Amino acid sequence: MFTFTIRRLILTVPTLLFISLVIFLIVKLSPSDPTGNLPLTIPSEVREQIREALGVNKPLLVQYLLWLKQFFWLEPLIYLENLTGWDLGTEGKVRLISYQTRSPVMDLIMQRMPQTLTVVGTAYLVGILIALPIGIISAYKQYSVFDQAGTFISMIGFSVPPFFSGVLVIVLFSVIIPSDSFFWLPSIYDTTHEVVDWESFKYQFRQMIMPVMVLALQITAQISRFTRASMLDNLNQDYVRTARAKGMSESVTVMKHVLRNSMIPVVTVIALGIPSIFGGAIITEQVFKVNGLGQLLIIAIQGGDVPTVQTLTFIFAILIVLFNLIADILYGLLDPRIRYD
Amino acid sequence: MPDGTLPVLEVRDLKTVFQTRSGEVHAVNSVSFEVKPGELLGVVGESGSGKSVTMMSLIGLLPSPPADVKEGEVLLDGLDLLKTDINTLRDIRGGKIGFVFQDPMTSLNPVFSVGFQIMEPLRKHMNLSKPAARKRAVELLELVGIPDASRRLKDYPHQFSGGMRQRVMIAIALACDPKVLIADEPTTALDVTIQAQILELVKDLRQKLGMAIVWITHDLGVIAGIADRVMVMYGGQVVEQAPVKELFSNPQHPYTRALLETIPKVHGARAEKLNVIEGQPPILGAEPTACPFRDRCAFRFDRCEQENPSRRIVGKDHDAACFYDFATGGPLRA
Repeated sequence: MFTFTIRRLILTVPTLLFISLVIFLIVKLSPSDPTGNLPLTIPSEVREQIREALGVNKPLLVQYLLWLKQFFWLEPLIYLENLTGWDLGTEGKVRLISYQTRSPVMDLIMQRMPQTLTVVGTAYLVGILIALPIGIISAYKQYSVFDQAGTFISMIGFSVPPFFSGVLVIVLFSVIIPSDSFFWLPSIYDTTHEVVDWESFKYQFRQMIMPVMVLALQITAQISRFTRASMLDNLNQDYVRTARAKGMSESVTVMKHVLRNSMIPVVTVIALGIPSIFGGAIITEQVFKVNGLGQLLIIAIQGGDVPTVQTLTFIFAILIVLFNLIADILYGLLDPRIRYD
Repeated sequence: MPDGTLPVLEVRDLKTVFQTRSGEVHAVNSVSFEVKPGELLGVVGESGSGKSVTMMSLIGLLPSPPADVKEGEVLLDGLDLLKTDINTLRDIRGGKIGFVFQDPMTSLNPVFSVGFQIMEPLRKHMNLSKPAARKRAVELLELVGIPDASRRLKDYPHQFSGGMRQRVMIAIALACDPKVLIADEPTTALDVTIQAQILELVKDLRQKLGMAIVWITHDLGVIAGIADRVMVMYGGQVVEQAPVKELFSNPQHPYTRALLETIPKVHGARAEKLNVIEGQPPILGAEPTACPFRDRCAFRFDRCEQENPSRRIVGKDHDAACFYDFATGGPLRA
C-alpha cells in the first residue's frame, strides 16, 4: 500500500505538468485581451505598453516557464516565509500578479478560500449527512412511500439547476416572506460579517441557509441515489441471508454487514466529489453573491485575467488528481479484496 | 441410529405461499417430517421441488413479502417456531439451528475477517467475551479441519478456497452447538474431491457432536453415502419417505423410481442417451387437487387426476404418496 501510494504520487508529477501546459495553452490561445476591460479613452500605444509590461508579448514558452517557476518555486517559498518568518530571499522577486487587481494571485485565493470552504463545505457535509440515511432507508424499504418520495426529491435535485433553485428560494424566502418575519432570509451573503457573539452567529447561520440548501439539494440527490443503488446491490447477497441465519438482528445485518459493503463505492464517490467543493459551486456563489473562489474565477475569466484563471484552474486540477489518489487508497483500505502491492 | 427417541425437530402440515405479480405460487404444500437427535435426514428432489423453501420457512428466513408461511407447526423441542416472537427466533437461528448454504463463494461477508464472522454468533448467543469467543473460534476451525487456525482467523474469505470457505460456513453453523444443522446443498458448488472431503467431515462431526442433520441435495449419490433416512420432495410436498437402504432397494413412488433410473450406470453397455424424466416440475398456482406428478408419471390412471394422494404407509418407517401399488402392480383399491 505504501509503495503504491509513493508510486502514484510520483506519477502525478508528469500528469500535473501536462495538465498545466494544456490549461496554459487553452487560456493563452483564447482570444482575450488583458487591456480589454480598461476605459476606451486609453490610447492604443499605451495599451501596447501595458501589454509589454504584463509580459504578454513574450514567447509562449518563456511565459509558460516563468509561470511554472512562479507557481512551483516562488509562491511556496513566500508561503513558507509568511508561515515561519524566515528570510528565504524572495524580497523583490516578481510574484504571480493578477492583471486586473495588480495584487498577487495567491493572496486573492487566500482571501476567497474561507468563504467558499464555509458555504460549500457545509453544504457538502449537510448533503452527505442527509443523503446516507435516505439512501439506506430507501433501499431497505424499496418501493415504499419513503423510497418514492426520496426518488422524487432526488430527481428534482438532479434536474433543477442551481441558477433556478437559487433564484426560487430567494423569491420565496427573501421576497414573498416579509422581512420582519422569522422565516425571512437574507438574499445576499455578507462576507464581511464577523461572528463575535450569539446574535452575529445567528445572522451567519441565517445567511448560510439558502446557499447551503441549494447546494445540498444537488449533493443529497447524487449521494443518496448512489447509496441506495449500492445498498440494493448488497441487500440481496447471500451473505445477508447468512447473517440472518446466524441470528443477527436486522439492525446488525443492515447497518453492519450490508452497510460496510455498500459504503465502499459511496466513500470513493464522496472523496472524488470533494474537489468540487472548491470549484464546483461557481453558479451558486454568483447567485448569492458569495465572493468565494468560484466568483473569483468568473470575474477573472470576464476580465481576461490570465494568471488568475490559470492558477485557479490548475489548483482545481491538483485537487482532482489528489482526491483521485485518495479515493483509490480509501478503496484499498475499505475492501480487503483489493491489494495494490 | 437411535430408535424410539423423541424427535428434536417436528414439522406438521407446513404451507408456504409466495405472492407474486402473476398470482400465488404454492411452494410448500402440507409438508410434515421429523428428525431425531443424531439422525441425518436427506432431502432430495429436483430444482423447484420446494426443498430449500421448506427449510427456510422453518425459521422465517424467507423474505416476507413475497413469502407467507400460512399454516403448520414447527416444533423444536416442543416450542412452535412459527408462533414464537422474532427475538426468540433469532436466538434459535445460529443458536439451536445452524445453517449451511449452497454457495460458499458468496455466503460469507467479503469485508469481515473469518474470525469475526465465526465469533459473531458466539458473542450473541453464548454471551462469550472476546478472548473466549476467539478461543472457541480457533477450536471450531480446527474441528472443521482448517490448519493453522489461530493465524487464519485474521484472514478474509477471499483468501480461502471454495472448500475451505464451506468449512468456515460449517464452523459458523456449528459455533453454538446446534441441535439441528440444516445444510442446503452444501456440496453442490464444490468439485467432486472437495465434495467428498466435506461429506467425510460432516459424517465425522455428526459422530463427535451428535446433532441432527437435515441435508438438502439433488445428488442421490451423496444421499446414499451419508443419510439415515431420505425424504423425496416433488411439487412442494413429500412424495416418499423411507430409510436410505429401503428407498434405494424398494422405491414405492413413481417419481423416486424415475429419479433412480436417471442415475448413469457405470457398468454394462454404454448408454446412447442419459435417462431423463420428461417434462418440467409444476408451478402450483393453487393448492394441488390432483397428484402434482401425474403429467410426467408412467403409472398414472384416472384417479390421479381427481385427487391428490396423501402419504400412506407402505412398509416399516416407509411411506409414499401414490395411488399405484407397486406391491400388487396395479392401482390401489379405494
